[in-house]
Amino acid sequence: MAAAAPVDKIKVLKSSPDLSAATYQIHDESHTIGNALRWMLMKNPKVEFCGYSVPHPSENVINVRIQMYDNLSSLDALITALADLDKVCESVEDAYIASLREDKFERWEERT
Amino acid sequence: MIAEVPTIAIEQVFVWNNNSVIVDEILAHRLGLVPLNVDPTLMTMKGPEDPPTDQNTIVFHIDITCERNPKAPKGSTNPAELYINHELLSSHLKWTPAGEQEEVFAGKPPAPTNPNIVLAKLRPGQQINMELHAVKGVGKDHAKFSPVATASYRLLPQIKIKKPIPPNLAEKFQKCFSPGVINIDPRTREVSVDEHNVRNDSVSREVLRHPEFQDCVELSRVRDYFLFNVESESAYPPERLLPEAIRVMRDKLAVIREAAEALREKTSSAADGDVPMADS
Repeated sequence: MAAAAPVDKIKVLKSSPDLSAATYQIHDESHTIGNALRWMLMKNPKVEFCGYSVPHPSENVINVRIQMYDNLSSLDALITALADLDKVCESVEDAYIASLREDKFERWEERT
Repeated sequence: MIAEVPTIAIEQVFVWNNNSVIVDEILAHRLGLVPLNVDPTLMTMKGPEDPPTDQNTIVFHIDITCERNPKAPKGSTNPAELYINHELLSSHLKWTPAGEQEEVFAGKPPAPTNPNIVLAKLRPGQQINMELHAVKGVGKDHAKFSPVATASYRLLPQIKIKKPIPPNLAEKFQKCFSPGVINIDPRTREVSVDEHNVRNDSVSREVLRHPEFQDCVELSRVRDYFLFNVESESAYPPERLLPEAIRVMRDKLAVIREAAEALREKTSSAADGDVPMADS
């Protein structure tokens, strides 16, 4: 269950002096967020490199590495990617609900 | 959907009396796996240190005693006729409302989704008396909290016919695919792919085994067309599970975004632009 001491959701791991290239350790997340976030970051043309890893399956953290072109801040790119991903989720949700409202789906119930 | 959409399940079992043949821990485990019909949005998550309240815990009681049936027909060997209460069923779980629960759950009193689950078998003189506490939880903690039996996705199959199929081979071609996927025009014997039923194709690649159909078809998947298969096993109707899963995802994103923005705040407020870095 939850750890007793509160931990930071995001930590910046030791790397280059500025934030143009950094590794972020996100606590309590897994491939669900990692893969989607990496995909979204790679869509950003200003991102030179992006990758994520789960360092160890029994540690509940992911590492996200972001390297930027032109000395831009990777933290800004991360925040933009998070916002964009949220928008993707929102539009999928809206489209699904709109389609559900049309009521053109099969319903099938298993009798026990 | 499997691991993070919350549901309600029995988490704590207080056994006052159990002299049946099934031991307490096995029975408690079986009780935990019983799906309940409680809408999870009506409850809050109970932390490990939180005291149980009417917001986060639902209480059930079981009090059942097996007796001999005095009116049993002579010579019967059927336990249902010989004894009263010879089985502990999920319908024997009796909800005990606490606090505001009576109003909150007025429309749908908490109970197992299926009333006919056999939890234990009893014989005369055996008695089970227990108190059960159901709480909200997620599937990654324990599979009993998982709202689905199965949840999977696949991509829409795509079949492209690149060369016309000779009419004498049309039936054979049709048999290479799942039923309903390939249509044969009754007059011209021309084969075509059924727009709606392509999704039923199993993509068995059977057609590629036959030399006569070489270079005739191309099998692929539509890369951005997802078909979800969700089998609900809880209070959620299956069509509500995808929006719930999306909501969980968005909540996660919101938390990370907040943390990232706090981090940016911290960096920009430091005059020299230094970044507080953790030891790795």
